[in-house]
Amino acid sequence: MESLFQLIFAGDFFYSTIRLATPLLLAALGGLFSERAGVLSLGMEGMMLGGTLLGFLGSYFTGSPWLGIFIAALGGLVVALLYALVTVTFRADQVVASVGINIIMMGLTGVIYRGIFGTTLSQQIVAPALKPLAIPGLAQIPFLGPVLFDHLAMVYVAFLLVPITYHVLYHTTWGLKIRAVGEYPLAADTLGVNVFLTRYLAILVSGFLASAAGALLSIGYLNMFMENMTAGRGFIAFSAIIFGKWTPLGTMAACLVFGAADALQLRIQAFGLGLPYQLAVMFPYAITLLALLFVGRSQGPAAAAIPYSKD
Amino acid sequence: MLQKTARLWAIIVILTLVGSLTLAGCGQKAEPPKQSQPAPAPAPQKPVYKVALLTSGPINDGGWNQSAFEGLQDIKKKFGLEVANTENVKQADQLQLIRSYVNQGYNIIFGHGFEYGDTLKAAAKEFPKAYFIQIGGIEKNGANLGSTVFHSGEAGYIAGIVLALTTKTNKIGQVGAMEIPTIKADFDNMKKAVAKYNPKATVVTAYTGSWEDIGKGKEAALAQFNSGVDAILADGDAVNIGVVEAAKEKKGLVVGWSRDQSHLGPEVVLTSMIQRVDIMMEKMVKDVLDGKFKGENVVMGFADGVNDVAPYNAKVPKDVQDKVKAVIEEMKSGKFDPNK
Amino acid sequence: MSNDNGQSGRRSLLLNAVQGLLIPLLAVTGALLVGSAVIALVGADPWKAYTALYKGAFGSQVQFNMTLLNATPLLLAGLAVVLAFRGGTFNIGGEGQLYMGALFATWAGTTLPLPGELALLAALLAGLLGGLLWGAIPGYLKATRGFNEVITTILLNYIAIWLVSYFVHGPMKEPGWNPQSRAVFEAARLPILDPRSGLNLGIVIAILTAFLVYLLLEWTTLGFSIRMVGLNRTAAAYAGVNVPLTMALTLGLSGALAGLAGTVEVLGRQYRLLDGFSPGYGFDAIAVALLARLNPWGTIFSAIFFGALRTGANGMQVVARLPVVVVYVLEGLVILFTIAGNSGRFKLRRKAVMR
Repeated sequence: MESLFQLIFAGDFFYSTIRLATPLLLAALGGLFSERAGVLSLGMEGMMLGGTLLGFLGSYFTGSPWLGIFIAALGGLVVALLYALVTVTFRADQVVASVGINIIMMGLTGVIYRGIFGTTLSQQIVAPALKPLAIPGLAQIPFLGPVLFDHLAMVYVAFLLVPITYHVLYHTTWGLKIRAVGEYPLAADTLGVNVFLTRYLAILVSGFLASAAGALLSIGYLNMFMENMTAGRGFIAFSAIIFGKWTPLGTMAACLVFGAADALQLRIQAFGLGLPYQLAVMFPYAITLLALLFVGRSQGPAAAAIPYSKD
Repeated sequence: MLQKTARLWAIIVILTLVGSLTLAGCGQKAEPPKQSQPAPAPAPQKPVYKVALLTSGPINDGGWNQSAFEGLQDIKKKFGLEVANTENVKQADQLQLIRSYVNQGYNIIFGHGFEYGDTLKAAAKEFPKAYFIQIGGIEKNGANLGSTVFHSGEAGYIAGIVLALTTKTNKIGQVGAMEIPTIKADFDNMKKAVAKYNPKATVVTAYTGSWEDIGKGKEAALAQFNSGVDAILADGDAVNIGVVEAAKEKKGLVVGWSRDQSHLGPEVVLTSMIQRVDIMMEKMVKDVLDGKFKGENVVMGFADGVNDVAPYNAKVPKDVQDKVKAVIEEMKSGKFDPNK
Repeated sequence: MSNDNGQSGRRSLLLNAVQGLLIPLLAVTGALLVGSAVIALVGADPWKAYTALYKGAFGSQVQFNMTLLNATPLLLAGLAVVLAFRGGTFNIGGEGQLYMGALFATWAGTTLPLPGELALLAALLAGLLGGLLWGAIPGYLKATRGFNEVITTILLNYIAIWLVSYFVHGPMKEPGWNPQSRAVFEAARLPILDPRSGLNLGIVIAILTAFLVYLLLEWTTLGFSIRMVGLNRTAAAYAGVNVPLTMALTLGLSGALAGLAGTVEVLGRQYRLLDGFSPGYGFDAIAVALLARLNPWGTIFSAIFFGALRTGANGMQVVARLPVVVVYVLEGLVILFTIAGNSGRFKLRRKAVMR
């Protein structure tokens, strides 16, 4: 057991934790805007999926992974616009609209990828990928340096977005509007806040970041695309928001808990305890459930998931 | 209250309606079930064969499902038969899809995986004139249901020899997607080979739990490399891509699976265990065309060219290659069976 | 639906009929129009595809029975969602509850050596129990600790799916090659109504269940409490309803219904348990229930609608050779359009469901 202990508390475990948590965090922070404005962010899975493909295509055709990420994020705006149209303008149920968006994106990414590169390839198509960016000076700190400061630049961006999100949500007029719209849209409306516009913008932020998170999966950690390669991360990001009690810091903590549990699970398997693998794969979900016991009740925005209409 | 009563009545009407519809369906079963076989040719010509393939995953997974899809295309070219396929088939939809294919005149139906066993058995009974073939399973009925499967674990054993003799740290990994019978057989036999050829080495196993999650494959491999593993057998279709990526980062070694995966990383992929699903499919179809289909379980391996070893990279010493060659020869001649 | 009773009472019957039929029809047409562009894009013939879609779902009695067969688990899981949402609880754990129902039912159906109908009854009850248990956990956590059921049910989905995987690879594995459970005893299987489609007694059970859910919600005190809690928790508490208990009960009952969906799928159709045996019924069920405006007997129709979509999609792949990825796009479009078309008048007051 001693060496399992060593395995876990090696720097590599923490490094892994951060790496696994980042795509979740990036998506969840975007989702947070949408959630706080009272619109469910369950559609993140579909937005992320779109990002995996667009990021890949962008990087493949421009040769620059950064442009790939940017193109993915822009494409995420389009998906978000569709989601906003259906849920805000048409006031459709947000859960069902999310289910619809997710299925469409699963299909559409496949249609486009197969349309461009053909259905079966003898070789996997690769695109340029992001390279880790060691922060000079900081990366040389023993232990902490390699764990914290030798990541992809997008990782730093994601974690920097935590205080930025906090600031925007709690210390700007726009943030106030978002929270007002999520809590009591009628009152916000009376005060002259444009509920529809606010929700549209919040959803757009969610699409932008979720799609960038998707691109991070395809051309950040890897250099290729595979259908359905997000494998449910959008739903985990959604859970992280609730787990984090709809706050940026809480959401970050939740993503880290999930990332750590996943990293731990893989290390338990690598250690070869002979545990049935299903129990290992289940571990992050079980741990998160247990962690909830310490977090306790979480209360969301009052107007969450309720379409707003003026009449 | 009035409204409620009206609603109650409405429900009763619906219940009766749906009930009678259902019963109408049952009433019709009195007549013998129509065998919607391809229209019998007017003259006693050679029967027309059409081949359909059902896969549970996508046909561009770079592994198990893709190889069957490519096998299907070969059948089209080689035998000039009409072919069709459906991918991402869910358990609940298997039988319906098979029925639809038979109704469309398809009479050689491949179910690609162990999970088609029950469905193919039922379909073979329902459509005695069509042929049903399971790949990667052992179903048979002596008539129109047969199956073909890799000689269990042969390739895994060979991969084990390569890995056992190339590891420097004496820690070897296995990364799979899910524990399905064929993968389990190969993993088990790989352990046997390692135990024999490098008793000091230990083997650890990890599954990602997803066939598509390349990222998780990479993480699983990274976790193994970080724990001292230096050589991994990757057997999880698309997941393999992630394993090779991890190996490139950590300067590890990988044995690929299902097709020659050296293009993913020529410097880290030692070799790959090639599985020629196309040869299996061709043989089964040829049996049908020649009237030799007996509804058996056909086991195929190195001797049939179904298993093969892809070209090695420079990191596999010549003596290891020779040893592998010798063992394969023994397998071919039937002198050695890793399962005994 | 109780919450728009006042309005709809005043509406003319004709207007209701127009809204109830015409709008969904227009929505589906719109989805198919957009979808035809995608179909044409991949070089297939939209007309041929849609003919295949229709024929696949309704082309003959057999096809229609197949549609009903596919509608069965959707109806039961849909009813689970109806019950939960009406009670103001946001159960998106239908998929997990369905897996647990199937797990328990399979266990009972493969081990309990009971004679005759008793075997079937025991397996059905076991399935209900499995679902009940998996619904009661988030119910209990919500009632006693105020845990948000959205996150608990999502997590429990994953846990249930992997538990089933563990059981079919381990303790419940049939000896031999395949990682699957044994087949359930003949006696524990649901009688087949139409052998050509495989339609079984499950559809009757599902429709009866719709009736029972309707009775429960509209005619019983418990149902009244459930609806009251769903409409306004504070008011319900003032009226003396035990809100936490009611919500826990709602989630438990909802879980039981979803469990029954998995049970019927195993006992009526698949006869044994495999990894990933459900194609996501638990998630589709949310769309089924909301399309029916959370109305138990409307759920019958929307379940048949979604069942037809599944059945027709299979036909479309075989007959029109449409790649599965295109089928996904179509399914998603139909869901989006119908739900958007449905929403103009559908103002669901799910107040503070996220709390």
